[in-house]
Amino acid sequence: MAMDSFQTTSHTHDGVTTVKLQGELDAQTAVVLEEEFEKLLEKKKYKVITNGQALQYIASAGLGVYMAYIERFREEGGDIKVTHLSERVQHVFDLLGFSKIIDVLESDEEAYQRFQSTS
Amino acid sequence: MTALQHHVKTTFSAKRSHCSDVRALLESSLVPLDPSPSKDLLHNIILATDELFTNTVKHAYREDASKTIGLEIQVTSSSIAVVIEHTGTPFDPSTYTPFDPNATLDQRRTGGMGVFIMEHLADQVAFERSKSGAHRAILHFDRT
Repeated sequence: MAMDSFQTTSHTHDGVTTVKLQGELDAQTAVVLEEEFEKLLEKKKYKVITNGQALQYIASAGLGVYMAYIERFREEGGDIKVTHLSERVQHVFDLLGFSKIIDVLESDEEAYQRFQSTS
Repeated sequence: MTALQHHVKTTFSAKRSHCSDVRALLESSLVPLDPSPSKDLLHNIILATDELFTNTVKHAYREDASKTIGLEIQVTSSSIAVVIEHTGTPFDPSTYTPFDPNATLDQRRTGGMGVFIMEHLADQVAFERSKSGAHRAILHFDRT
């Protein structure tokens, strides 16, 4: 399977960018998410919600991308929050302790409200 | 020794793009078993094997796609074992710094997450050398 087994689509509303994750995020496809985060940093879009409703699978390489980028967004006054994870993907976040260092939330609305309350 | 109920043996070139092929092979080999593994067990096997395969591509072969990785699935009535075989640099547990899931963000390192996942999801992880001199990593999962 090629790179198209994972893709992102994003839209920005009121200064908050929602990135929808779709497919399988692994050692091969993690670069797609890296490129998305790089683009957002270039465009100075620092408040990001990654919506995992269509994220079917995550390996540690995917979590490594969050780890590599989250501090850069926070340094600019933003954050990367995660929403709508399936039970299986959430389990991987929990196993590696990422739920303690990243906001993992039920809905985009909740994430959006957190951004509004801290801005 | 318990008789093998199902056995798959194949090879992949050492490319990250084969991670999804490895996952697909595990799913197509294990789902038809009777009894079929639970969804949680299947996910554990797939994720742990994916991490092992990725580590072999990255660390044992340093992304040299001309190299070959052997993959074997051994199923008995009581266990499922996945064997990854390579001839590159072996994993050295004595130089491995364990991943700490309780570390704060600034204390964290990305290395070690794959081994951590393997050790937590598999019932047993073994590293050995075959008679031919190849390095083998074996993930054992209980079926019960």
